[in-house]
Amino acid sequence: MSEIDEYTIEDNYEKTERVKAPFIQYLREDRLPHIFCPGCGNGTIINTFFKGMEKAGIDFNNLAMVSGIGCSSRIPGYVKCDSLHTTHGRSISFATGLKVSNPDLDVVVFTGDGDCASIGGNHLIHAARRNINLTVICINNNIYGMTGGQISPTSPKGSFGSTAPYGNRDKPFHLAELVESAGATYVARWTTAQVESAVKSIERGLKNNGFSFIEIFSQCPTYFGRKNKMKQAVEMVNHIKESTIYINNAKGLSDYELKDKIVVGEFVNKDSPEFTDNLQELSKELYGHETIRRSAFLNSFDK
Amino acid sequence: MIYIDPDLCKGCLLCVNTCHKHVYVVSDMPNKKEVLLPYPANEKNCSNCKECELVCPDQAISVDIERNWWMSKNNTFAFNPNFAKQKHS
Repeated sequence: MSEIDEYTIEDNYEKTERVKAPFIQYLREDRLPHIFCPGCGNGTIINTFFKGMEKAGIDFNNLAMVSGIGCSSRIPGYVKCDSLHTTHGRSISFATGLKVSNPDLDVVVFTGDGDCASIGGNHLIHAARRNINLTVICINNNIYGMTGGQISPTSPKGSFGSTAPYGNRDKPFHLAELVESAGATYVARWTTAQVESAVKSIERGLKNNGFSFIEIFSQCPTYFGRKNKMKQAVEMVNHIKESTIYINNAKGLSDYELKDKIVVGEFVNKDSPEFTDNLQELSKELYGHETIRRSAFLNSFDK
Repeated sequence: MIYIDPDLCKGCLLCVNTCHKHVYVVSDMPNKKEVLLPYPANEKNCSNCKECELVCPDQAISVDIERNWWMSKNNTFAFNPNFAKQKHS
């Protein structure tokens, strides 16, 4: 074969070998540096997820990531595992299909607040009601960052945006409380200023057999910060850090005292029957064996 | 040794904000991309907590500090660094 295949030519120029950050081994290095703005919280959440994954002892080859549309939903594109980039707001329903067809997979969903709360709120509630074994990490930055700073359902009262030049008059959505009342078995909320606690709750959420929802309050210095007089990422992180209250301290307080506060902590941690286990039990009761899996990884389609 | 990758760093200075031992210092001159890079000036203060590695949004920082650097490597009998970890049975 005398034809030259241009993809097999070796690059002989000297590349300097550098020390690399520990979590860069899970990322696609040719895509770096990533597209996020300087100081965006999404990169921090990538690191916290990998640290929690290592602590939970989950096999990286058995992981599947699903995401919708938005800034935060670009995260699975930078990770070396199998990933699905789906339509706007429907990431949890795609993940439900993945999990039911192959219950051995560890399915993780990355969503933003606009993706999860506004257009995909219906899917979020019903996945929590069924208690299917997914881990949903919701990155809440209070604004639609990708499309130019519109007000989102979770932006706090009185905040400014490009569609609210006189301040937002509506009440914000409290996502963790919503999912808790919908029946999820693990719910937690942390911020990017408290990374070690977020690592711990991601570890517990991955180990939990049931719907686990982790809301991480993140900063958006480009759109939310610029409209609300916090132009630097450091200013935004300090503002988030000052306005947090732990859940045990917030129990007796009134709504007026909790007006500009972020309640952080673990909301629920309980056990409840899981969706795919219920399906297998039903199949065993009626037919005497588990459901047939048509997977490409299995040789015989009988089991 | 603390290394900050100048190709990946975007200059958000969150590492300077989070470090409680004041290891990092902001440089005076911007580089080619007009980014003020942080510089680990007080590296001996580092307590190896690796919070900056976790917080860095661009995966630019790698902390690799030698533990028990005051020991000579041949001397294993004078001080046992695993003393607190041993099990009493």
